[in-house]
Amino acid sequence: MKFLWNSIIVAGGSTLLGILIAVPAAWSMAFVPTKRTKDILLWMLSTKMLPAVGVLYPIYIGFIKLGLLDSRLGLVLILMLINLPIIIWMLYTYFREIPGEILEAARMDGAALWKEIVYVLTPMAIPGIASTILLNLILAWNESFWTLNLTAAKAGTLTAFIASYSSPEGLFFAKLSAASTMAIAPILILGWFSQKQLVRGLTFGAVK
Amino acid sequence: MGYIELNEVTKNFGDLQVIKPLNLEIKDGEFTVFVGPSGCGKSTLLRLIAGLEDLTSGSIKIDGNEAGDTPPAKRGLAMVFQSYALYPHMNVYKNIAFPLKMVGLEKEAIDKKVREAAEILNLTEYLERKPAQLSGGQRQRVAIGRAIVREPLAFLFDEPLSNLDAALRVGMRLEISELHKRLNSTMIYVTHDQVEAMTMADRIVVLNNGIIEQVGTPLDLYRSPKNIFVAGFIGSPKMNLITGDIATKFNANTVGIRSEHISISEGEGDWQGQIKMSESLGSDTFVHVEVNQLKENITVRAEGERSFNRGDKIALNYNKENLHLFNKNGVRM
Repeated sequence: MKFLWNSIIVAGGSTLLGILIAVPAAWSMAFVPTKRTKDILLWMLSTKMLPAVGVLYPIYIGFIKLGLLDSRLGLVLILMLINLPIIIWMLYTYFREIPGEILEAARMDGAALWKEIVYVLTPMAIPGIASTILLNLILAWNESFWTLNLTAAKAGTLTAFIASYSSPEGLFFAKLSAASTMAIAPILILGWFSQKQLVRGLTFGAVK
Repeated sequence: MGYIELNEVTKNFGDLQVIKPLNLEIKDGEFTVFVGPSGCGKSTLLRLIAGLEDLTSGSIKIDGNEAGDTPPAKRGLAMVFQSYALYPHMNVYKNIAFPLKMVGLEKEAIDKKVREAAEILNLTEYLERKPAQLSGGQRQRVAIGRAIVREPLAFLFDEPLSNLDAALRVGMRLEISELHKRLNSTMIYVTHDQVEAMTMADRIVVLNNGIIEQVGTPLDLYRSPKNIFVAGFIGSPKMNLITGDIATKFNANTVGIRSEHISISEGEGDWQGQIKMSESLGSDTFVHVEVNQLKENITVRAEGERSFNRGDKIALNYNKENLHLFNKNGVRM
């Protein structure tokens, strides 16, 4: 049960934190691009190309120093950071579909920047934001590399729990299967209910 | 009050200077139209006034206050966009109420103002509809409603009628003119359509390549264009611009004559030629003539319904007093 809670908190927390950072970041890149915007986007994507194990050591040391090892907070932070480039990229492409004139109209109508984002941009990008959130939840929920390496008993998530049934003494197939089913179920249900939204989000703006 | 003053305003996009140093005064309550061909800088100039683009140099004063660094929201101006730019997730009521909500007005006051604006614009029965459920003309009225409720110092219109069909455009043109008379506020209107400019403006600003070619009332521009560009741009059909011998005869480089100042002669006439094409509009017929003595083809306006055949011989008369003379720099002599 503890593992389930950890999974929920880590997946939910990292997604929420990621969205809060990504919305303004994607806004600025989509609507006030500079000469370097394209480079920054590419650079962010390039971090995803780096094998995670390549930076495990420095991050592990960092976590020890900061006392974040085997803590939910640490896991939330690291999962948020590894998924952030994807969230920003997705939101950036959705935001690009929104006509800039509408945001300019909001500005002319007296909306401050945060009001422009909250009242105009976000409601218009709801399908895009929803599918981004869902994808990020799935990615964070299924994440196992960092979870296995940075947690033990205290902050371990369902993926760590499943992995614990595979031991040098042999595989506990029955228990492993049960745990896997338990881990898949929430994502399956969530995905089922939001599939319409997800498909609309993923094809958002593909056809005018 | 809505008095706007531009002083030595310039705007660069990278290395390209789209607005060259420019001075302009827009008086309170005046309907000013910026007109010019695509890419002449008219929309950029409007966006500079709105604050949606930053000045490269120069200053903009609104009611005597320096506005160059004021964000668009604080300039007290309202803008109507070509694409209407309505908020698609809000219904008509919420769209019109949005600027009032942004200034933190109370609910009752907002309600009163929104209903007043809807009344003026005949939108009362559509208040609950979303923009997607409205026709183009209705959408544009919502955009205007959103501008009216703010009681701005000045209205800025960026080609608001370009997306409408021809019949609706004429109707909306009248509605906007009426609105100007009713509100008596300053309006700046950008268009590439010189007919809109001629019919609506108190004063027209003709722009070309980022500079002002001429400022004046519609008839000023029509009667005495300062240069060849204005002569050719204002008026439909275009003024006939002729070079060659006839120009030399008047010591000019180019002479211009409007189609209505040339008459079809029964006798010999000043010019002889053949008809290339004629366009019947019912009230007028425009005849395009290949004149023997001239290099350029001439357009002549014949009143009423007339029938002309391609290749028919025709003789034309013109009156010297109606000629516009331009020197080799294209400036009026």
